[in-house]
Amino acid sequence: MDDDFALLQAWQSGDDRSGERLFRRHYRSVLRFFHNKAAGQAHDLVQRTFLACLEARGRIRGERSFRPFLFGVARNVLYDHYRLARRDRVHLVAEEVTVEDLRPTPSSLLAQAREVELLLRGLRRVPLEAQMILEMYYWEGMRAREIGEALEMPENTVRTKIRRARLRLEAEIAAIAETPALRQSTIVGIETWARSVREALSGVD
Amino acid sequence: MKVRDPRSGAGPAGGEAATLAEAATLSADARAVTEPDAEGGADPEAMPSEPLALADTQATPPAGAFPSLDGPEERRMEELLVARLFPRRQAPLTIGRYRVLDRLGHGGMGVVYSAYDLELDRRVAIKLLLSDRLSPSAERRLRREARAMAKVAHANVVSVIEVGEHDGQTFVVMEHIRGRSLAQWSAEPRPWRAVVDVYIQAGRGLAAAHRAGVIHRDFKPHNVMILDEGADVGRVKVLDFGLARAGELAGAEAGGEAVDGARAAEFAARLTATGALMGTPAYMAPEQLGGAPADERSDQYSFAASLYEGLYAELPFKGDSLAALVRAALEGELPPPPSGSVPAWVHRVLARALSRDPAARFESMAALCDALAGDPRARRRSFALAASLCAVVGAGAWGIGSVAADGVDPCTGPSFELVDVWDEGRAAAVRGSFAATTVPDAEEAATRTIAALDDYAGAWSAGRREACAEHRAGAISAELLDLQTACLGRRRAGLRALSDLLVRADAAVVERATEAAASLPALAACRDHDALLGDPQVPPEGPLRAQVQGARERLAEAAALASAGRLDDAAETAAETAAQAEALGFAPLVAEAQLRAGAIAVERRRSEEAERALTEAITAALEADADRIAAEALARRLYVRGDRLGDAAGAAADSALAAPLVARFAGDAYLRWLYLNNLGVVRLIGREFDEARRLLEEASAIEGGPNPVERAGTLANLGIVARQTRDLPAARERFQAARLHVEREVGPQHPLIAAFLLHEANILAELGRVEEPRALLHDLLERPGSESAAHLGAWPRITLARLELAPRRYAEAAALTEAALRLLEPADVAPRVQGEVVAAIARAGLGEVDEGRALREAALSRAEERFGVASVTAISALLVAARYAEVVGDLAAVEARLRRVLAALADEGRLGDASAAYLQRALADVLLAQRTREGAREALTLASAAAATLRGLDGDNALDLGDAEISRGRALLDAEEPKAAAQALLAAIDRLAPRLDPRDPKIARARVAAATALIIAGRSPEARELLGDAHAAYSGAGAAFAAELAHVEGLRRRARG
Repeated sequence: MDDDFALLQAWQSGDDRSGERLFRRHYRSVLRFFHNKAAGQAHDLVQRTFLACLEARGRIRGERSFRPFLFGVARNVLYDHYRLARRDRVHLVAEEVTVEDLRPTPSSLLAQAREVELLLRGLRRVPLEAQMILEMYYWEGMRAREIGEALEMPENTVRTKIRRARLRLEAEIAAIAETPALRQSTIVGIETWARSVREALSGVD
Repeated sequence: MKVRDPRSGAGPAGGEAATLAEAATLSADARAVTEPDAEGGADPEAMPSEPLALADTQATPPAGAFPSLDGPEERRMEELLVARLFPRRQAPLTIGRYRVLDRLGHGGMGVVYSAYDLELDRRVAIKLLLSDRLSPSAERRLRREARAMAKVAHANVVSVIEVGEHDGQTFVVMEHIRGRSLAQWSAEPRPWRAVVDVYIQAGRGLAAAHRAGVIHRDFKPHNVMILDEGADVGRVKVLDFGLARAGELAGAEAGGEAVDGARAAEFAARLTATGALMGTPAYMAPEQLGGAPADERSDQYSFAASLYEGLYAELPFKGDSLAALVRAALEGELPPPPSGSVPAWVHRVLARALSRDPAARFESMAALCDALAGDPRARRRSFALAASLCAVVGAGAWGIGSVAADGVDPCTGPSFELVDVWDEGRAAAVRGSFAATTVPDAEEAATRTIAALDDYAGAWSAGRREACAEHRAGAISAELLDLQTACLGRRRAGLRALSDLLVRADAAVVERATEAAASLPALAACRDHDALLGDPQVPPEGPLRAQVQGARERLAEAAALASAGRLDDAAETAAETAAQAEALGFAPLVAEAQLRAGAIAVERRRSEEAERALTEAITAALEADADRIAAEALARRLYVRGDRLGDAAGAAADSALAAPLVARFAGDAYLRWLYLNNLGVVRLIGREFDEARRLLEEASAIEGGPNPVERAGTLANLGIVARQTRDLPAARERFQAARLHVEREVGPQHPLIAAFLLHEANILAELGRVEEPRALLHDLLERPGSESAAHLGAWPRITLARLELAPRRYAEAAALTEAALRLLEPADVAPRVQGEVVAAIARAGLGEVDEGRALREAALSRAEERFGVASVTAISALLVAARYAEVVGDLAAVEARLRRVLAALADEGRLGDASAAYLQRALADVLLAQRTREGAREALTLASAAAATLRGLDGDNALDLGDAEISRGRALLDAEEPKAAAQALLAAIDRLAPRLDPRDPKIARARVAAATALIIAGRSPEARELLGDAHAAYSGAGAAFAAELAHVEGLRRRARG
């Protein structure tokens, strides 16, 4: 258990000071997670995620590190949100569904920089699970093992999925990019893009 | 291409291009409508290939380059979330005097928050301009326009309240409204008449702005809201005069230049690329697109274009790119009216307003509105309706009425739900805040509370929809709808106050949460047509009506706060509202406010204050013909006078006045219950027990009315009556019923349950039981430590300790009293005195006789000083001290105190009271313990008198009578009358044995005394059986009774011999 878990446990036993420290440490990451998936409700979902962590007594025993746990919770909150938004009981198959399909309305994100916008749009067009994997991998800098913990899948599967998700993202970007030059620069520089997007998103990290 | 640092924003150009469209951001479902403006505005190259769906895409302006997670608005959002998650750690987030509640949306130039105006007590919307996104000139302009808007006061315009600065950022405070933008509203098909009616309202708003010299410059469906909440439901308001310039020129660079078609594409590019032009192209007048300054006529054009779209579901001039659109507006002809039901004359009116030549349009917005309102068929159909179309003030009821006439269902939408007041998010927050407290039953309390509030909110929404539907069907008048809406508004205010409290609940709030939820006033009253219409307490249409409604909502909040135990906050709110009511000079409101203040003062045990407020309530109510208020205020004051102030005459007078008033409201179950319960208590205080029982039984039989806790209170009052009349089994039953009622209806966490349990335990102890009260008290102590009433932890311990004295378990008693005394403040004199007397006995029993004696004397003296020699507290402490006087010693001191109290009672003529009998018996015992011949003679007289008194009293006095008979028997024995002694003692044993535990030392002692008398009287065989029982009792009682055991064995030898 890392000390984030200690903070969580302190919060669970009533120490709001620890809760606030924990919240501030991870707020941006979680916000980032929701921003490209449910922009309008992102802040509410962040709040719900931390409350869900607070309620997750007893469930944290087997966890090794905090961030995968946190993202696992966030993922569940997101799925719940989509299920509620769709007002049906259909089981959500994350491998097949994309955020573009799920969004009740288009996103408010308007990218001034075309590449950033392209990347974001591309990410929204890949299946939700692939999107989460790519974002965790590139933006959050999480390792395959940690992503596996968050998404409850074996590390090797995650590695395979990262490769496939990247290919899928490239295909989506190719499909939506208007100019060949833009397409080329976006695909070639995916790692670079991801890094610059991360920096842009997080400000001082 | 370089990724632009989002923190630097879009720069002045991007900022200027943005519009401040609160149309979407203020609406309840704003978050769902967040499509960007024309996509990719920064890249002209990509522009032409982007399909334009302008009508759907302009709800929210471009949000800057990228959602910055580091900008000031994001930092504020982070703080807001922290404040929500850790309410106790955070000072509330404020902008100026406004407390920020939530973020409603964000646009290119700023962020819109919902906030609370702490000074004027209302909800507002605050637009905070982000200086880093604005050039200084843009910021100056925005301030100017806000000031210009503040000049416009019109029912169809969102008003600007204040322009200020916060941390170097400009903010604009606006009236908070809820509803949908016309863009959203028009998304569903609407009858043409409904659309025109709604736009006429908007047009009136524009006209008013024009009269004040303010040009809108960006009128479009997204900038018009249709309210769907409050008394103004259906009213249309124009907002975002964000680009208004009060008639100033837009700029010289394009002013007046002729625009030809060939340059249209260039314009299009310039519009979006540089943002030099403000406004939304699809609705812009051609001259505006050409760069000419906007004026009233261009607003007229935008208005007509919007209405055109609302009627025909398409823009008058179309283009599949921005360039094509501009070209069409500049060159094209207005197409013929699309087929449909819209009359031709409407199209003609619009065609004129859409003239390319501004001079060919209507002379003013007002003239255009008149033309639209001038439907000849409408005039034929109903003159009143046609006249009302142009009515602006009081449009609320009309808005629904006129829409309903065309068969549109307006009875849906967010205003019919309790969004932000009670919804899923709030329920989740309540669960979280409850879980964060240390109250063990918090989860159950949360579940019960949430269920109750869900029900309440559901019933509220249903009532709201029903009223709306009935009005639509013509079943109820607009006036009645207004009254119902106002009534429901007050209910919502109470619910909101409670909900606000619950999401930040502390332990005390958690304990009372379910009660508070159950105490929300009934919604049925809002559907009671006769009561609403017969109520003269609504001021005529006008500003006063809104102020009175606002004040009444505050009173509903005060009631909710009080029921959740926040008495200080509730009192403050009620007092403020009372002052406000005085200032408004509206007597019915004064009466209501004073009544609420009085009721809260009663709960705070501020009796004089309560009497004052209730008296003012009665006066104001009588002045205002508000009999219902007068009746309730009288029903409350009679209790304050009769119980709290000891003013029996005043209570009697109030009761005489209240009776006929209460009878007038036969259907008002709560009022009737309140009157009967309070009068019952006054009778109880006056020791008119039969009358008290009758009143309270009638009160408890009333269906509906009081909340579960109040109903339990009546049951408990019946319990007190039963206890006073010595009907202990009935008393126990009543308290048990009261407790079970609260447990079932409110939940096991309510603090009253502890009080009821304590009563039950005391009654059981009075019944001579030992194990049952002990078990109850232990249960009680295992309940969650109540933060709201520390003495609830002390009393059970003191009672338990007292139960340990008879079996001489002094160490246990000492530990319990020590713990109890630690919980008490020096100011808690009554429980302290009891606790210290018990502690004194325990310490003496443990060998610290001197300390015990000092402690006992100090405690008894304090009780006498504080409450009076003959007070209940002093007498009950003295009786305990007397019973164990032999343990502590200094019998003379106790004897002196007993004589003093009896003398005081004799002075008051109370020697016939039960307490006099207890004291006489106690004095007899103390005298017998001193073993003097004169003492024994006096003891005989005293014990005989006590027994005679007790025999003459109503109710079950068997235990006390048994005690008195034992004393009498022992006195007879000492007076050497063994036969009479044996007779008295055997009678006492017969009376006591069925009720007491066979091992009770008291009964063993009586058996020993009886056996002694029998032996002396020469009836040893009879004595032997008694001694056998006593031996069994003592031998099971442990080492503390070794001396008694030895004595019994000695007697047994004598009885055999």
